[in-house]
Amino acid sequence: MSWAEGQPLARNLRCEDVVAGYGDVPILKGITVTAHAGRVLAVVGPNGAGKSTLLRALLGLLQVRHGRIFLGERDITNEPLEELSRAGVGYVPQIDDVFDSLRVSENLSMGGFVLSRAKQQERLAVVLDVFPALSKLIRRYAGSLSGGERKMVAIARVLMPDPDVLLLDEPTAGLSVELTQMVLETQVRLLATFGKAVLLVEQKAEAALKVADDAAVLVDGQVVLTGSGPEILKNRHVAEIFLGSNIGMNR
Amino acid sequence: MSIFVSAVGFGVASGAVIALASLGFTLQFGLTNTLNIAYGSFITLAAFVGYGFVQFGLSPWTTMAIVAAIMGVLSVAYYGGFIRSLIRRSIGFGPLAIATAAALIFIEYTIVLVAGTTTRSYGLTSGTTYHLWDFVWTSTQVAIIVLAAALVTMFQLGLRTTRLGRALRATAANRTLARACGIRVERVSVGAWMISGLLCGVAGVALAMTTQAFTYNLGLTFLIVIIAAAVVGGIGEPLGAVTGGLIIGLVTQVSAAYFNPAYSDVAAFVLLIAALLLRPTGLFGGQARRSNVATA
Repeated sequence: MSWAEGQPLARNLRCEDVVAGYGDVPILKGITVTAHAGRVLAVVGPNGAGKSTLLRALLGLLQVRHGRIFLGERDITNEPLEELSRAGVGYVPQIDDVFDSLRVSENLSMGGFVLSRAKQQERLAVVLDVFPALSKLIRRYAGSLSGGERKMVAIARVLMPDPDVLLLDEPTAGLSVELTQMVLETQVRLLATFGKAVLLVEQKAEAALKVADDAAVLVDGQVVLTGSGPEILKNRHVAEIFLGSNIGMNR
Repeated sequence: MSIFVSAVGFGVASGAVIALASLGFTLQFGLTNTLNIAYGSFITLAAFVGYGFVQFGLSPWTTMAIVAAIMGVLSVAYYGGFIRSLIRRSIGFGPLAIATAAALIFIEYTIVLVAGTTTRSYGLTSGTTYHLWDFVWTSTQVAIIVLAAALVTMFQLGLRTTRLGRALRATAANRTLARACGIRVERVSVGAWMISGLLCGVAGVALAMTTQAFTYNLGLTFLIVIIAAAVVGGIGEPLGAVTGGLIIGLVTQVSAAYFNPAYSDVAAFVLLIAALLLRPTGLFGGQARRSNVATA
């Protein structure tokens, strides 16, 4: 039996009419999206569309001025990042996604910081079962790993406390085409298979839309289109208008 | 016995005090990215508060424990009431350092206001002298070396085995990622300032115990040595601070043995400049570079 079988579905992450920005300027102008349990929601859009700002608002790193964010039924609007983590929101940053100066084993241990020692050992066994390749890297310093290995450690770390929702900030940034495909199709899809609600912010739109169950296209701080990933991918008109030639180039 | 061996013996004793002080200093830097110039005045304050207790009739060792506790509390109050509010205003690394320099002047002149500019001394006798191999140490020096070794060992063990220690390491390595792991980094920072205050208290009293006489500017002079130790070892790195402290202690004492002792701090300056030119990240700076502690 796989680890995912028998697991209850996690909670959704719902973002309702969120307005946020820097200074007096709103960058997000009423964003409404939902990351459903067991599904991958890809948030794509051109540079400056507000993807990273949305993530910062969701993570409590940027003040939400209007609108609400819910984890299941719990209102988590403007809660600090550490409390979101304790509530069941996992976050993998784009850069600095691992503790470089710590060993892989310590990275995983930090991921399970809120757990008791016994529970931590239990979760470590589960995570190593999911990512068996990590067993060989366990004594290595995270800072010495390759891009793909780092990302695997980052995702394994975030799985340690068994969160309901995973927020991934451009997990393929800096990775080759082959590694991008591997990370998205294997690791990111795997998270949804485990019943997690996955919100994937990605600059490589085409690659992200291929693996996404749901997608939202952001332009100028607003959601201009929603649908399934493959639907949006096939819409050449949409691709030309909102993503331009980047959709092919950023694969 | 050669002058060199004798100087090395003094250097180890001196390095033990520097290592403790530098450990506290580097902890503040590593956790909250604060170059706390006022740390020097906290050393002075610890020495003067200790002087008061010694005058009151307490033993220096009891005094040290009490002063460490007091300095731990004061350090947290200083962080919570001053440093944290400046960090929240995002004033930047440089202006924050300047603000701490202003705090140093304020604290030092408050000490002058209360205790005056008179030279003070704990008035300890050298007591029993111990001969270990070719080294000669007083009982006070031996006790301080043992105490420093014990505290550094406890600190290192605590970093790896306790919950606070793990949180300290994670927060120093990557603050945002630590928060993403559910670590309440603000509490961890308070813990770090508490520990650094304790170490500052121990170092301040130990310095006063091993110094023949001191005045209100004791800490300012010592601050240069502390910073040199932290930089030589790799600023933000606990083990680097301890190693740097020992190196600076040895170099200043050996240079004092061969040149004019009044210029012994110049050796610390030379080492500081050499470290900045040759290995800016310090001896243990590899880890700092990987974790962005030193460059954050």
